Amino acid sequence: MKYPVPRLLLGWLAVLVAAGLAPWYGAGPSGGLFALSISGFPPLLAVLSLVAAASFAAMAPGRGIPQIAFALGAIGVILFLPEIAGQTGGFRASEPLTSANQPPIGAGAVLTVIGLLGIIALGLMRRGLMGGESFGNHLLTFIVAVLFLFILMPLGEVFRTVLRADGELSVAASFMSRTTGSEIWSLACVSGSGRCGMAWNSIFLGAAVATSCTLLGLVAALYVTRTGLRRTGGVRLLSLLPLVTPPFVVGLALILLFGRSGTITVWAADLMGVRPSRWIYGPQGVWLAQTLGLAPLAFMVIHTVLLSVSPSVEEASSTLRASRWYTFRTVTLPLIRPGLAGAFLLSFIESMADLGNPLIIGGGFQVLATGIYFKIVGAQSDLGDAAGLGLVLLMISLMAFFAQSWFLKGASYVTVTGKGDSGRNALLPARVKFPVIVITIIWTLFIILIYGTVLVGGFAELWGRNYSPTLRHFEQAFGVTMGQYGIVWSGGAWNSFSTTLVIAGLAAPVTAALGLLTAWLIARCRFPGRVVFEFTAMLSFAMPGTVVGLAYVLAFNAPPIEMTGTAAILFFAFISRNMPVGVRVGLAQLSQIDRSLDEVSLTMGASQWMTVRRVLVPLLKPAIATAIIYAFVSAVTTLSQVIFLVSPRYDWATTYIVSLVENTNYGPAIAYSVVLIILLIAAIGLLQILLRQAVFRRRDTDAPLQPAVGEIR
Amino acid sequence: MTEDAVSFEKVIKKFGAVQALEEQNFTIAKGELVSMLGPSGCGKTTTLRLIAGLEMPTAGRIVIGGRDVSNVPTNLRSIGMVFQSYALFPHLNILENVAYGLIAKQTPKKQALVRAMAQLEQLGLAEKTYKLPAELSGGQQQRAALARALVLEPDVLLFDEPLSNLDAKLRRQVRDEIRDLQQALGLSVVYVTHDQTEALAISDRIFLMRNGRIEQSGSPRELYDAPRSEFVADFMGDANVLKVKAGADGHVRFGSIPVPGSLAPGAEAILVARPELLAIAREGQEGLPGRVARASYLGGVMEYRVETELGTLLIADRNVREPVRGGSDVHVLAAPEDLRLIPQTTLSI
Ligand SMILES: Nc1ncnc2c1ncn2[C@@H]1O[C@H](COP(=O)(O)OP(=O)(O)O)[C@@H](O)[C@H]1O
Ligand SMILES: [Mg+2]
Repeated sequence: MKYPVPRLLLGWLAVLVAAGLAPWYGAGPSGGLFALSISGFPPLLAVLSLVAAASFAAMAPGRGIPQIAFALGAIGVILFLPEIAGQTGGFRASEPLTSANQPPIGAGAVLTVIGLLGIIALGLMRRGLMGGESFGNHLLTFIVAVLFLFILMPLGEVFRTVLRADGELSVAASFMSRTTGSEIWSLACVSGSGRCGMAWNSIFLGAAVATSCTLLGLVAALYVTRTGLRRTGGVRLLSLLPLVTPPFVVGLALILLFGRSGTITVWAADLMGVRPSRWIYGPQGVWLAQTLGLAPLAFMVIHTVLLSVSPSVEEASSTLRASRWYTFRTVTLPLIRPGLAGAFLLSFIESMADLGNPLIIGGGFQVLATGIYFKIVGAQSDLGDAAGLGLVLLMISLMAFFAQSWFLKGASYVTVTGKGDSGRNALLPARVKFPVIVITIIWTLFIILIYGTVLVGGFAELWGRNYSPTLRHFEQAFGVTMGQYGIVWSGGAWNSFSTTLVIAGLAAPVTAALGLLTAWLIARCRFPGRVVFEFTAMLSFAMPGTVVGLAYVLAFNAPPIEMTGTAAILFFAFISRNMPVGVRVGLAQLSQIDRSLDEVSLTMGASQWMTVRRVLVPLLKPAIATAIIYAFVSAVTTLSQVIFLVSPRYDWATTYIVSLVENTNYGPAIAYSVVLIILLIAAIGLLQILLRQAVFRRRDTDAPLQPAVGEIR
Repeated sequence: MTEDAVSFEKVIKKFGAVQALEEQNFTIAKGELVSMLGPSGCGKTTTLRLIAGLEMPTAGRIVIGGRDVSNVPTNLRSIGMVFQSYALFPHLNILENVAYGLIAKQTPKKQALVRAMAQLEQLGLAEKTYKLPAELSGGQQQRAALARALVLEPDVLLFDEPLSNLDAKLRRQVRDEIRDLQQALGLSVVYVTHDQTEALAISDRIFLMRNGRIEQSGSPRELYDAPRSEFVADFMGDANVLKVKAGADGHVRFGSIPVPGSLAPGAEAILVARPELLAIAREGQEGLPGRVARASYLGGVMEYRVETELGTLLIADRNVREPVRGGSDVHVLAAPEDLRLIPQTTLSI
């Protein structure tokens, strides 16, 4: 009996041949694989790979284990041989090439790895995984590879660095000194005898920020859903602004308002006849900035949960003669409690991860994120200590993350059954309603003040001294002059601005695609290890940006994979960090699309690939838009993730702005921020328009398939 | 030899620890319409999905059109399926929906559209060609889903509760349409339903399922008239199911009426009697004496509950003009051949 040749086999053979012709190494000895015979293994590997791939041409179903094993082994050799052979820190060109002394891998090796992954996918197909479908097996193989290389391996590198013996010390002692020093865990500030450790600072700050965010979020959500007021669009819109702003911009605005020469400080000092103080610098300033920056997130989570409380239970309560206050206290609040917990933990995680605000208005207040920063770029840089702090930070966020998932799972009992409940949600009792309205209005005014300051600040000659209008700062950042040889991009921001746009623009669609396809695998396919797969795919969600940055610095600064200082490292950092959002949005949307649509497509003879392309992609358009927008916005606005990865050649907008702020060069910093915010709003608007097509309505509820915004996080 | 459309050989299906189907052996002949009938959760859908390849059997062989498809994925099987929700693609118009499968099978696009169009005309949907599914009524959506499955000329056509989203009047009409079409085109059909009247009306054969097993299979008349268990009797429409005991002579008596069939002396059995086959007599000493506990007027019939020494009997009486009052003493009459005995040993728990 003859078995059909897998369709993609020729493609993989072509990749492997191309791999042999391309330069194997990224530096050092050049030449294609077939021309290289220096260290022995590459040519042998090439021949074996081709043989392995070719063996699929006429293979019976159920076979393929040897090929898979070979491919795994070969990938291991390519990526880890130098490591295993005891390589430490880089390639020495002056010494002979050995298995330990290997230059970083180049296009040839990368293509070989890709070809080997193709072999694994073909092998899994032949084994009959997922009904032997080509699409699912290839997707699974490649996503697992991405997760392994760009999440698990860097994370493993953090652990390894923490566990590396430090000079004379034993491994255990090194580990302890890196993760349990008094610098980290001291509680001296509680007894008033000194400073607290960074971990406690982070935790206390996080808890304070989370509390205020949750309260503000709840208040605003109640304002929008339960006051019966019509005009709530403004509140919703304003509350979204902080989401498209780099987080530290709020801190920057606070400095302009409340710093020593801040507008309000000066005005109040004049009024009361006291000397302006630096009171905003310190934990209180960070708390204020983070609260304003993160409350919208809490708002979205709570808003979603509040909307999902079925009006009928509130109506039922009032028919049972409960007063509005009693209904609110005994029905509404308990139902949204998991949502409140979720919002709390989310704000907590984000506060812990924030680097920008503690950096610019923290004063001497050190949190884990800034601790890592100074251990990497500071005077006493020590990667081991940085990794120790990273590990502590990671563990705390992981715990909060698990708690959050747990609470939000509990929130599912409030979701409506799909049969649209009619009826109106109960209105708030007066004693709650008035505080809600007042607080929301104050909050809104505060946001307007902050953004107004940023907007105006970019046009002021010298904030605090001289408010005469000028375009000087914009010119300094984004100046364009006509030079002798044409246009000269003379502004200082152009380099980082173009890098940011290009890389974030490239990474966003890839990130979204990867996330959504991962969601599809999780939701619609069956394969062993699916739970572990899902966990790993969501893992980077709980990794604070500084930890991702740190892990990448540790993992990709030496052969075989050397990416420090390149654009690629930024690209992969974004993909791995932002992918979980695509997964979440995708899972939420897929759960709304009846499985029978996929199944009927299969019964009509369509392959998985055709089903995804012709049925799911059109139906998932809103999710695709959301995932792309999110990936783009978060890549552009992040600071913590890129700050260790940027290089003079590939600088990032946020790191550039922060460096301006650190030199108290506020004018251009604000001008740049304004441009960034306007650009992001424009980009989101554009994407919305591009992707706006018929929104399909579910027949049973008539609810449009728009992702609830709260599900983004 | 006529080939079977579908055959199951020792097929078992487990979901983890849950045994959804116990060992199944059956064949469905070409051109036959078989209903899978049974209460919810009994494994009807699972059986259907096994045929479709949407689930893979834990053990056993599935043959469709003479080909062993036990390990063949759905998209390579020659089946067509109409889902309960119809599963029309909401973003494609009706014509595109119907042409989808043809295009998936690499039919040139133009030809695919022509064939899809012809199929729509055959089912009287020519006017809806360019409409989106949401613009069609429930019945039309149902027919579009059917057209989409039919155009591929599958070896077997599968329906999973196709009528449950339609209102009662339309149900009867669509049910008949499906049957007419099946007979006209000689289609092999597996039809899942939990509604016994639907199954009775439409099927060549019914497989009545219970807890992952086929409890009884046969023609509609066999299942209705000759239930082999209390469960079957009960499921195939209203039935009086009474626990009885044979006398010393091995016979069971329904008052004065002897029930056909003999048992061991003193053996317990189940007596089944359809309500519409029982009659009520105000006078005379024939039959089983009892007292009317409740009399309800249901429009076309009177429904009585009569307490007797064998238990409470449900009786449907056509005589609505002169109803018997509640509380009256009456006799219940039956033709001996309408009383059916099921020996206890064949009962499943
Ligand atoms: N994917 C599944 N995973 C686990 N159990 C399942 C799955 N599908 C069906 N079952 C179980 O198998 C049994 C039969 O289900 P099903 O075939 O859907 O019943 P029916 O269609 O007759 O109502 C039920 O007990 C159901 O809970
Ligand atoms: Mg079912």
